[in-house]
Amino acid sequence: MNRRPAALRRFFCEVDTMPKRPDLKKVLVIGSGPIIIGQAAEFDYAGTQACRALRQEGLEVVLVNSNPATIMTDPEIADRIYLEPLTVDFLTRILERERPQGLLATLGGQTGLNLAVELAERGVLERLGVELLGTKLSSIQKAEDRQLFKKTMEEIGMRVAPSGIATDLEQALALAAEIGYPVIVRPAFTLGGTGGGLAGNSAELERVATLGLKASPIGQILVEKSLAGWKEIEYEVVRDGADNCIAVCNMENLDPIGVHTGDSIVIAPSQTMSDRDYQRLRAASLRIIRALEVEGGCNVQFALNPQGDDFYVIEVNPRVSRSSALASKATGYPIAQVAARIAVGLRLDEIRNPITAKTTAAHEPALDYVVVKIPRWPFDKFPRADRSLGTQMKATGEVMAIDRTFEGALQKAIRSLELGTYGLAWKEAAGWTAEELEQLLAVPNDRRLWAVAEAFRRGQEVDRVYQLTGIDRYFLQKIRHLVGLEREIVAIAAARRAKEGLGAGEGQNPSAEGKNQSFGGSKPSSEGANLSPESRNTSSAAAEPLLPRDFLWELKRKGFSDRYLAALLEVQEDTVRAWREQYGLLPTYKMVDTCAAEFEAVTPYFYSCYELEDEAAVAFEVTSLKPASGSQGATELKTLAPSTSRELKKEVDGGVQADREPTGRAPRAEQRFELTGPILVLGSGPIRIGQGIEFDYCSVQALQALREEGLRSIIINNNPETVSTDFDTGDRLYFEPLTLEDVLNVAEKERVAGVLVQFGGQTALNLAEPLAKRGLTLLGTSLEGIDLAEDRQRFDCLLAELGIPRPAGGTATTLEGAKEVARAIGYPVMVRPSYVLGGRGMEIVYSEEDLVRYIQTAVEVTPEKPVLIDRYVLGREVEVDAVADGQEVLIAGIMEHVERAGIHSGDSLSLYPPRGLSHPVKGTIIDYTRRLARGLGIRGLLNIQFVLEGERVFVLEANPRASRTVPFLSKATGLPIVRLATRVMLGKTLREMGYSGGLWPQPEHVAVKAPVFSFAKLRLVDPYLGPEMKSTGEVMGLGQDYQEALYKAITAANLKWPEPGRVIVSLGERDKKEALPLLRDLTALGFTFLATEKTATFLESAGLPVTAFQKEDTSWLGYLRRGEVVMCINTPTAGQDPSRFGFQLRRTSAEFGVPFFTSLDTLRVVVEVLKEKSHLAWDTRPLGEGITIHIA
Amino acid sequence: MPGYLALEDGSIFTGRLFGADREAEGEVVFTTGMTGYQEVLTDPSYCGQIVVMTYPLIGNYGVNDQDLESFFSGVRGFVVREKSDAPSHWRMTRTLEEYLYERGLPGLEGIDTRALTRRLRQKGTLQGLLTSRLERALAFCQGVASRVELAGTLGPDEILGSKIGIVPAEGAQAPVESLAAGGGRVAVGTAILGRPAWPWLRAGERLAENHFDSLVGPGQLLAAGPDPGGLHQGGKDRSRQARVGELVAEVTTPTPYKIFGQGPEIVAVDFGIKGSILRALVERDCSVTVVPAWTPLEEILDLEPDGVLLSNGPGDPKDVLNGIEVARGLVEKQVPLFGICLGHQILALALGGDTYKLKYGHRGVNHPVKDLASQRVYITTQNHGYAVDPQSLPAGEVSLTHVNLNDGTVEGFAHRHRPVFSVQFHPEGSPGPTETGYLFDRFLELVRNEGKR
Repeated sequence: MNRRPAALRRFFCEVDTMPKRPDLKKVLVIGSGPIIIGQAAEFDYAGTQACRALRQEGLEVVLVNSNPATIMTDPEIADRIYLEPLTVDFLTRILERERPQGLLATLGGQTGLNLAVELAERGVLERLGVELLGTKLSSIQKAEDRQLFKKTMEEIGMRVAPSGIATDLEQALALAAEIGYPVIVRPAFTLGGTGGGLAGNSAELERVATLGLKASPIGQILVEKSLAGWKEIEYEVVRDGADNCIAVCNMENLDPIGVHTGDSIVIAPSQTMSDRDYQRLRAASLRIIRALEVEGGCNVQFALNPQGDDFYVIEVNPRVSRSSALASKATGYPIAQVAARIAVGLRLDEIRNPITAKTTAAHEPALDYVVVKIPRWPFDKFPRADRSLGTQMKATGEVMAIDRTFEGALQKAIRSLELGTYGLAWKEAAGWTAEELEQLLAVPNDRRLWAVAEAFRRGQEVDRVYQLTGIDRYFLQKIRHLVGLEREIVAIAAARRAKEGLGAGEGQNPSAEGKNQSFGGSKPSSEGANLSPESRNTSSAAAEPLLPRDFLWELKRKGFSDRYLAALLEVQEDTVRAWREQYGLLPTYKMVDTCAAEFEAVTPYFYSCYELEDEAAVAFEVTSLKPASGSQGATELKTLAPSTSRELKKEVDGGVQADREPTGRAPRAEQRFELTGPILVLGSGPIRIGQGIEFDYCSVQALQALREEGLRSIIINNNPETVSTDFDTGDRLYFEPLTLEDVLNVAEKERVAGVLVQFGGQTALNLAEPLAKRGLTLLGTSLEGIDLAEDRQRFDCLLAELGIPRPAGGTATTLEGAKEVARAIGYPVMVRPSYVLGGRGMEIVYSEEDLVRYIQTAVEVTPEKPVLIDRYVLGREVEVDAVADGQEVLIAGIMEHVERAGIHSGDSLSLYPPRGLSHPVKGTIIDYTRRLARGLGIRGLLNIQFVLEGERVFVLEANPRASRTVPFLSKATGLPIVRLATRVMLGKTLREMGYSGGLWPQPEHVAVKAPVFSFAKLRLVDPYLGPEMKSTGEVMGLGQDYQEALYKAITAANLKWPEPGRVIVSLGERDKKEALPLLRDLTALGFTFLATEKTATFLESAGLPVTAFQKEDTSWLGYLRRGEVVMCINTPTAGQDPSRFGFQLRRTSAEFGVPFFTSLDTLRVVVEVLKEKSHLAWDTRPLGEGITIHIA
Repeated sequence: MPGYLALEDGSIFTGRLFGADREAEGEVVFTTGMTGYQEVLTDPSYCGQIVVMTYPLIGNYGVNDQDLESFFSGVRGFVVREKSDAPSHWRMTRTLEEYLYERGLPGLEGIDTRALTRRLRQKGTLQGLLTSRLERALAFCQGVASRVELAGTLGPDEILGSKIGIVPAEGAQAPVESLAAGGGRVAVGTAILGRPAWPWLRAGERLAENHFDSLVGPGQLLAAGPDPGGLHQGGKDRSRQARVGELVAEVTTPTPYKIFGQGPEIVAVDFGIKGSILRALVERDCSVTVVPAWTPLEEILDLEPDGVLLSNGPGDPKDVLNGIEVARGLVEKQVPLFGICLGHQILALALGGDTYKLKYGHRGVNHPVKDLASQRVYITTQNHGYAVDPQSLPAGEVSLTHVNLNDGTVEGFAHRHRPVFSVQFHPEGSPGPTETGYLFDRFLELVRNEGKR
C-alpha cells in the first residue's frame, strides 16, 4: 500500500478548504452565440461546464447567449439567462441591469473575447466596476494583435515565421516580395481564419489580402512566410493565477502546415515526435502561456521542421477553443471547468480532478490509447463548392474516435462521419484518373485521406505519396498497411472458398449487393433492411467463416468494421457478425481515466477495442451512481420482440403490477425499468448542415430526464464538441461511432432495456429499424410508426385515410413521365429525388424547360430512383412540435415561417406565436396534428410541416422525432418538451404528469428564430435561399412585440442593419410587382437604388430613384468592395451557375459582409423593423421573466 | 515467434517476441510516459526490471544515436502493446526492434498492456519471466502459484492449438512438450552501440582543455557510462556487490572518469547515473568526476570536490551500504550534497531516516510535485519503487521541501544546517519535462556559497 504519511494529511485537507476570492459574488458569462463554421458546439460544452463549476463555487451566474439550441441556456445551468444578441449594446444594458463583479469571456470563443475587448475599450467595464476574469485584457491583446504577439514571442526567444503586418494592399505586396512567396495571409481578430488564405504569387495575394483586410475588424493582416510541409503540432496548456502551468495534451495534425487545424485530421497524442521534440515544444508552450499571462486554458500551435530541430510558433489562442474541447474529450481532463475555476481565483492544486477524485487538476494526463479526429465538411451538401482546404476553415463539425491502435481509431472516425463509407474506400475513387488522383493528393481537400488509400491501392510508393502530401511516412505506412490487409482479406477468403468449393457471395447473396453496402454509399436507413432474423441464422449456421479467427481478431483490432469486411468479402454484414460471435470475438471496453491506469478512476467514460480485459463490467460496480433500488434480476435481458410501445408498456406494467401487491405500495415511476436494465440514448454525431447542436440539446435533455426518473442512462456519441460527450452527462458514456455494429455491441453488452432514437436527429432514427430487427426495444413510437412517416407512399396513404390534404403530387421514373405529372399538377412544381433526405437536390421548377434541365442534369431517374413531383403551394409555411402519449396530443406551439414554402424551414425566420393565422386555420392545424399523431401511433415527439393556401391547410411532411425547433420552442414556451417526451416514451401519460392535450397556451411575448449562415467561408456556394438547407446555426430574439423580437433575432444573426445608402437591386421578372411596395418604403427611409437594366426600367416607371448599370459592367463589384453599397436585393432566377451575374452578386455580398436578401419575405420583415427601429424601445429581460418555466 | 510473460501471481500474458530471443527475469513495472521509450531503455534505474510501456504505440520514431541515458542500463525486458514496424523520424538510425536485438534485450508485443498495468496496480509490483518457451513460463508460475492463468492476445492456433483460457497447472504438461522443440535459441547480446574511441576520459588523464573541447563539447555528451568495452566488469566482484548491492554493481561505472569543465569540481557518485544528469552539470560548466558506487569516502574526499552528487540508480537504497556511508561522511564534512532519486533515498538513510517499498512505484513523466517553499507545482519525471518515510526523518535536522500531489509521498527534503538537499524526482527529465532544472542551479549556488573554493 502507498502510505500517505500522517504528517502530510493536513496538507491534503487544505486542498478542499482553500477559499476562492471572497469579493466575487456574481459573474456574467458570455456564450458564443450561433453555430457558424469555426465556432460550433464546443462552446456549449465549455460554457455549460463553466457555469456549473462557478455555481459549485457558490457564485451567482448570469449567462448571455443568443443561441437557444444550447444546454447552457437551460434554466438549471445559470441563475439568470439572457437570450439576447451578443452585441456591445445589449451586453452593456445587461451589465447595467445585473451589475456583476466579474465578467468571464474566455469561454465564449472568439465572439466572447472580441466582446470583452470592445466592452473594455469602450470603458463599460470600468464604468460599471466589472472585472474581466481569467485572462486579462492586456494578455488577450498580446495574443491577438499580430504585431504585439510577434514582439512578445521574440522577447522570450521564440521564433515566429518571417512576417509583417499590412494595413493596405500595397504594404502586403511589398512585404510578400520581401519575404518571398508563397505567403499566408491571416487577418487579425477573426475566428476560424476567416478571410485568410495562401497566396503563391502577387495576383493571388491581391485577392486574398483584400478579403483579409476586409475580414479583420481592425483592417489589419499578417503576411507570413508559408511553412508548407512542416509538421503542425498543438499543445493545450493551462495556467493559474499563481503561475502554475501544465500541458494537458499535445496533438499532431496529420495534414502538414497550410491546412487550418479545424480542417485537419488530428491525432492525440503526437505519434512521430521523440521525447526531446515533445519536451522542447512543451517547454516552449509553457514559456508562452507565462509570457502572455493567460489565466485559464490556452492553445499553442507550432510548425515543426520534419527534418530538423527548429520550430516556429504559429498561433496562440488565449482562451478555450475547439482544440481544447477535443483535448478534453481525448484526455478526460475537463479544461473548461478548470479554466472557469481558475478565473475565480482557484489554483490548479486546489482543484480536484473529477476523474480520479483523488488527484488534483495539477496533473498532466497520460493516455494509453490513440485519438483521431476527422473534420466533417459540408461538401456533401454543396458538391459544387471549392473543396480545397487552406487556412480558412470550412468544416462544420468533427468526429473523434478512440482506440488502442491508430488504425482502429482512424477507421472508427471514418465511419462516424456518416459519409456512406465504412473504411478507406471512397465510392468514386476507382474512377479518378491518375492526374485527378495526383491533384487530390497534392492539394489538400476533404477526400485526401481516401486519395492516399487509393494511391496505395494503385501501387504508389510511400515516398511518392509523401512528396505529394507531406503527410508523415509513419501515417502513410499505416494507411498502406490497411490497404494491404484489404488485399489479404480477399485472398484468404478466396482460398477458403476454393478449398470448400464455394462460389463467391455465399450463393444466395448477389455480389453487387455486398459491394453496395459500403462502397455504394446507399443511405444508412436501408442498413440491413433486407436482413430478417431468419436469414441471419441460416447464414451463420451454414457457412464456415471465410476468415480464420486470429486474422479476424487482428482485423478488428485494426478497426475494420463488419460492414466493410462484408463488402470486401461480398457477404452480409450479419454474416461477419455471426462469425465473430462464433469465435467469441466481441469488443472489450476500456476506460478513459487521464492516468493510463496508474490510479483507480471513477469515470464512466469508455471506448471499445479488441483486447483482453473488459473494464466496463468492472466499472459497473464501481460507478453505479444510482444503484437502482431493488434491482433484483437486473441482468436479465428481456427479449421483447420488436414491438409497439403499447406491448412494451403492458409488459413493463405487468412487472410492476406483480411487484405492487406484496409491498402494497403504489408503483413509483422509476421502478418501471429496473427489471430490465439501462436506457440507451443515441446521440447525433458530428455537426453538419441540417443536423446541428439542437439534437445534442435533445440528447442531453433526455439523459437528464432519465436521471430524474432514477433510471440508468447510457449515451453513445462521437462528437467531441458537445455536452452529451461530457462524461458526467449520462451514467455512462460510450465514445463510439453511431453505426449498427458499434451501437449493437454496446446495447448487447449493457443489456439495455430500451433505446431512445428520437433525439439524435436522423442519425439515430436511421438506426431504429436495424436495431429493432435485431431484437432491441425501441421506446416510444414503434418502428411501424416511424416507417409510416418516413415512407413517402405509405405516408400519402395514411393522409388519405385520415382525410388530411397534401399538395397534389406524383412519381415519375422517366423524363416523359415527369412531364406528364407536372402538366397534370400545373407549374410551378417542387421536384426532388426520392432517395435523399433533408431537401437535398430539391428544386422549384417553373416551366417544362426547367424540368427537362433538372431531370437531365441534376438527378438520375431510373425505375429504382424515381423523382417526386409535387405541386408547389406558394403559401405560408407553418410547423408544429408536439408530444403524444398515444391518447393525448400536446402541441407545444405553432410556428409560422416568414419565408413562404420553397425555402427550407431551417433557413427561415420563424415566428412564435404565429401572427397571421385565423382561428379556423389554427383549429385545423391542431386537428390534423392530433389525427396524425394518433394515425402514426406517436409516443414521444412529432414535428409536422404544413403549408397554407389561403385558409386551406396542407401537410408537407411529418417527422416522428425531435426537430430542429424543439429547443427554440422549449425556450419560447417554457415547456420542457424533451423531458415530457422522454417520460412518455418510458410509459408515462401526459395526464399523469399534469398536462393535457391541445395547444399549449401562448405567452404574451414573441419569440423569433433566425438562421445564421457561414457563406463567407464556403467559396463557390450560392448563398441564395431555396429548398436545400444552408444555414449552420440559429439565434433567438425575444420581445414584447414582433418588431422587437425580429429586431433582436436579426441583430443576433449578425446582420448589419443598413443605414440609408445605396442598394443594389436585381429582381426576377415574377418578383417585381411584389417588391415594389417594399422598395417604396426603402425610398422613404432614404435608400437609393442601383439596378440592373430591366429592374431599373421597372423601378423608373414606378417613379423610384434608380441608377441603371449593365450586368457585364463590373463596376458594381468595386462599389461592394469599397463598402459603398449598404444592401443587396436579388431574387434568383437560375441559381448555382457561378458565371452568372446573380451568383457573383450574392457571393461578393456574402464575402464582403454586405447584407443581401434573396427572398422578398425576409426583406419585408427587415423593412418593417427598419421603419420601426428608431422608435424601438427594446429592453433586455432574462429568460423566464414574464413567462413561466415549467420543470416537470 | 510467440512470447510469454509469466507473473508470480500465476498469470501468463502471451504475445509475440521481438528483439533478442533471450529469457529475462525481473520485477515487472509499468511506466506511463507517452514518449521517451529510448530514454527508458537506457536508464540504469530500470536495472533488473521488465518494463511495461502503458502507451500502446511504441517505437514510432525509432531509436537514434543521441537520446541515450547510458550504454548499459540493465533493463531485462520490454513489453509493449504494439511496436512500430515502420517508424519515422529524421534522427532515427535504427528501429526499436533492431535496437533491442543489438542490445540483446527481449521484447514482447501484442499484449493488453492496460490489463497488465491494472494488475500491477492492484497487486503491486510482481516478479515475472519473459520467455519464448511456454514450458518455462508455466514452470515459473508453478514455482510461485498454484494456479496458472493464461491470458493471451495471440490466437490459440499460434499458442496451443487448443482453447485459450485458464489452464490449470497440472493440465499444462501436454502442450508444453509439443512446444519445446521451438525454443532454446541462444540469445544475441553484444552491444554494438559503443565505439572504440568513445570520448569519455578516465580520471587523472588530464588533457589540454582545447583537446578536451574537441572531444566532448556539452552537445556531444551522449550517455553516461564507461567505455562499453569494459562493460560491467566491476559488477562481478562479490565484495563490491556486497557494498553496493547487485543491481547498482551492475550499472555503476567500473572505473572513474572525468569530464572537464571550467566551473566547480563536482564528484558524481554513480549508482547508475543518467547521461542527462551529467549533461545538466556540464551545461552549467561543471568539471565532473564520475566515480564507481563502491568508491570509499576517503577517495572521494581526495578528489577535493566542491560538491557531490548522489545519482539515481536501481533497486533498494538499503542495499547500497557504501553509498549510505559515503553520504553520512560527506554530510559530516559539510560538503555540498545533492541527491537525486536513489541518491535521495540513500541520503535519507544516511541521515537516520527510513525508506519503504511502494506498492507499484512511480514511473512516468507527469507527476505533480509541490515545492513547499514557493508553493509552486511542477510536473516531474519519476522512476522509483521506494520512498522515504517522512516521519522517520530527524525533524530537527531535516525539513520537507517537496511533496507529491498525487499521493503525498516525500519528493524532497533539505538539511536545516548543512548544505545538503535531495529530490525523489528527476530534475533532468529525459524523458519528461525539465522544468525542475532549477534544482541544478540551486545545487551550484550551494556549491559556490558553501564549497571549498
